[in-house]
Amino acid sequence: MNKVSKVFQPFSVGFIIITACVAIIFVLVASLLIATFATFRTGINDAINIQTRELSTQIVYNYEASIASIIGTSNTIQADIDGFDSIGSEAFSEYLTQIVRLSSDIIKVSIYDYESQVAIASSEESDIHTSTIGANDSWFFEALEDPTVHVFSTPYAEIGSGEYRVNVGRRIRYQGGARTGVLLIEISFQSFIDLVDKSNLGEGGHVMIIDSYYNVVYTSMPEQETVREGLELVSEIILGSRSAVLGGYSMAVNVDTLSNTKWRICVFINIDQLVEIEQTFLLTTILVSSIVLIIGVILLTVVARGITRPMKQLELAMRKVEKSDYFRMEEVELVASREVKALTGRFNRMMRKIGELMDHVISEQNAQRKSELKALQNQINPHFLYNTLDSILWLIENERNKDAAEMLVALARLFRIGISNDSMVISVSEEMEHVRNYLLIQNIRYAGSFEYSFDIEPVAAEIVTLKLILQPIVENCIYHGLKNKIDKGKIIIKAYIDGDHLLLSVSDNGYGMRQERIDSLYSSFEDKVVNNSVGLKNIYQRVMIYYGGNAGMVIESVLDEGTTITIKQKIT
Amino acid sequence: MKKKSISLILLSAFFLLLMPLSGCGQGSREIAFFKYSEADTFIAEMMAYMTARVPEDINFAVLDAGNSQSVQNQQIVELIEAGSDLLVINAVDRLASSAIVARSVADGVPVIFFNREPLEDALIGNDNVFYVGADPDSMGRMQADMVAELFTENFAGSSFDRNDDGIIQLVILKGEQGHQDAERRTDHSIARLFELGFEVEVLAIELADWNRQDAFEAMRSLYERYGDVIELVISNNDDMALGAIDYLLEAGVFKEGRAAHEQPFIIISVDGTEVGLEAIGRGLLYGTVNNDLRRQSDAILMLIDFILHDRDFDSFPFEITRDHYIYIDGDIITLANLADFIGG
Repeated sequence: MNKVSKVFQPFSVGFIIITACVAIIFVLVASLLIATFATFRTGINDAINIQTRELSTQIVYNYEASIASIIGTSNTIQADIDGFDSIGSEAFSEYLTQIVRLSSDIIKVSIYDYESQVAIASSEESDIHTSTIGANDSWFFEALEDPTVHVFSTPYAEIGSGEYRVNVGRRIRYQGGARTGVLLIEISFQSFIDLVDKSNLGEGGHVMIIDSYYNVVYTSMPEQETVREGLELVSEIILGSRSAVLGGYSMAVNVDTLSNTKWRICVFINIDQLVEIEQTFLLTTILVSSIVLIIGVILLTVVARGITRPMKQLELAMRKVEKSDYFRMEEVELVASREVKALTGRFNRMMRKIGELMDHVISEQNAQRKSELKALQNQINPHFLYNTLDSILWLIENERNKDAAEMLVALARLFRIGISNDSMVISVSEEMEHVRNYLLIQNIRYAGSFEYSFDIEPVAAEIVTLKLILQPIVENCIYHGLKNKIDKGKIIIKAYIDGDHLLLSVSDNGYGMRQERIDSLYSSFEDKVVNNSVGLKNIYQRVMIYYGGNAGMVIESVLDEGTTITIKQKIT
Repeated sequence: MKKKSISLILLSAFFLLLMPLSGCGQGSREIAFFKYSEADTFIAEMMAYMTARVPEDINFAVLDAGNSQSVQNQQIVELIEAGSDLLVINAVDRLASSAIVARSVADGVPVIFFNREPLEDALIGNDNVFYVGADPDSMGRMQADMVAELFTENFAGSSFDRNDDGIIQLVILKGEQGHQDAERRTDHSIARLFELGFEVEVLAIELADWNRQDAFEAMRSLYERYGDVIELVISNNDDMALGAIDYLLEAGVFKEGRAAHEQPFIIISVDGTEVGLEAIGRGLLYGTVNNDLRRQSDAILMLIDFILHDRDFDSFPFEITRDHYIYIDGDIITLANLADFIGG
């Protein structure tokens, strides 16, 4: 099962369902189609076989009956012959005439003596003692050769009437079995031809009689091409039946023997109609199957969509949750099947639970962060205090009391803002005031080695911002950007509004930073560990803790020209 | 999970194994017996004898043509197309044999004809085509010999010469017009009688299509015409002789409890079927020439074995005439030696 699910892994549920079901439907429809068609085909082939066999058997039986009646006549003559005193007698001639009269097929009956090869009896008196056997009368010699068979000659046209006749020869014994001769029965072949009702065989259908050497004895369709094609086919079939195309028609061909002769009879029956039925059936079945398949695919697509769409929506909702940095719950409402609805219900419930948990965590974290924030705010560099006090002391010792006083006042103000208020936020103007005091102190300390200026939009001054965020940046400027600088340093502090954002920026004209340095600063910001370092990271973390995604810090720097650090916060 | 896939593989392997078995495996060979008619006792007995002895590794079918060559042709073609390995054919019309041979040779299926001899040109030149049968000439002569034994030289004036003219007045019950056995048995028995010095008068030749019912009717008409003068009835087979006897018993001409030579006239036949032998025992049929179906069948079975196993025909235990013909000689059976032929 693991393997199976691995195979399906890259595909969507909808795709798998559709593919599987389409495959099942396809196999089902295809096997049904094949089975139906095979059954039908067998059925139709059986029908063709039965029909053609029936028809051709009927024809064969007709011929055989006809032949049998002639053989019956010959047997009767053999049986009766010894009842006459002499076969030369008039009574016997009368008997033969009677036989001819009774049978419509028989034209003439004669008996030829074996030794003299002369007719010694005949239904036609003029033949007696005059008609002799010629070299072409092979029936005579063949009949003598094999006493057990009747020899049928190939049909020939009678010189007088042009009527087709066949000679049937058969050895006969007479005078009590003492003498041997050949009985000749001349039959009209026309009756043979008339036996076949050609309309039954369809267009192009015909009958052909051949001998064992594939010479045509008779054909009802004497066109050369038909005969040639027919013979070719029959020589392949030899005996039995087959369907084939002949002269542009679909034909069922049946080759059978004709009893009591060495002939074979070939019956060609037009089965175009049946073949057509088969083709129509095949087409219809394929059409119906295709329609079923198409409907199936459409239905399945709809069903699969019905199943997968809500799932996709659910997935989208989940993704939204996942994307938002700040966890925000959105209830998912879907029109879907029961299972998916239950799933979304569960999902919503789970999300609610997670939401609650998140709220809990956030409030806990906020509390923690507040205390952290406080701690960060309260980190006043002890060195700064010490240095400032040292500077004041130095000023007093040099009797620069005015400067000392100024510095002391600035220090006092600095501290008042820093320590006094419990609130974490102050107005921009207060924050600026704090920075100004700081700069004042530092300027005195560094004997005016840098200049500074403020550029504050009046609107911005009233906006509330986080306490003590600018001072560390300015401190950074002084220590890293301006210290040891030969030219006079310059620091510009700005506060302005851009859209719904408040921007506070500190620019210096110091050494600037390389891009790598800036990158490493940014990446150090993302280090989520809250540490107590004083500096940019401290500011960044505080801003982030307080404003979340609604604030940011941008560092822009050009080497040897200066650095600008901007804090951007959304005005709430 | 693994078990499932293993069982699946095993299942498909099982079906794969089955496939060649369900098809035409090499293990068993298929042969088919064709008989011209169900009604012929001799053929039925021969068929029973043969089919009981077909080796177990050969599957066989027996088909009855119902006396129609057309039906038999269909049966033959169907079995050739179904992949038969050998055909044993008792043809309805012996003239059809050349077409049958042509078709089976084209499909490479060996053919053994029996009982009805195909025309020679149908067999000559074709491999694995044979005919097994009695030699009809010799059987006809044996019929004459059997009568000669009974009538002896002193026929004239004997109890058998009913009209005391010294000539044997006889009627012939002929099996079938055109059947080589019927024609040749008749020809040769008459010729042999002449040869043995008897004077013979053939009163009539009646066709009775080898069967008892037709012979019953034929005998009725013969008896009505020649009742007083018939001295001998030569039947081409036992069934027809029995048909004649049926009529003669019914008409009260023949009586049970007499010896055959004490009946008003003598009936002889050919075949030696069980019913025929029984009639000899009852004194109704004088004698018959054993158309040795056992030895003929044995020859056919031997041919089947030799052909299917492609054996060397140099060691074939029966004499093969003209490469294709196996003639089995018969025996004269009368009451005197009847015991040798009954049972076993």
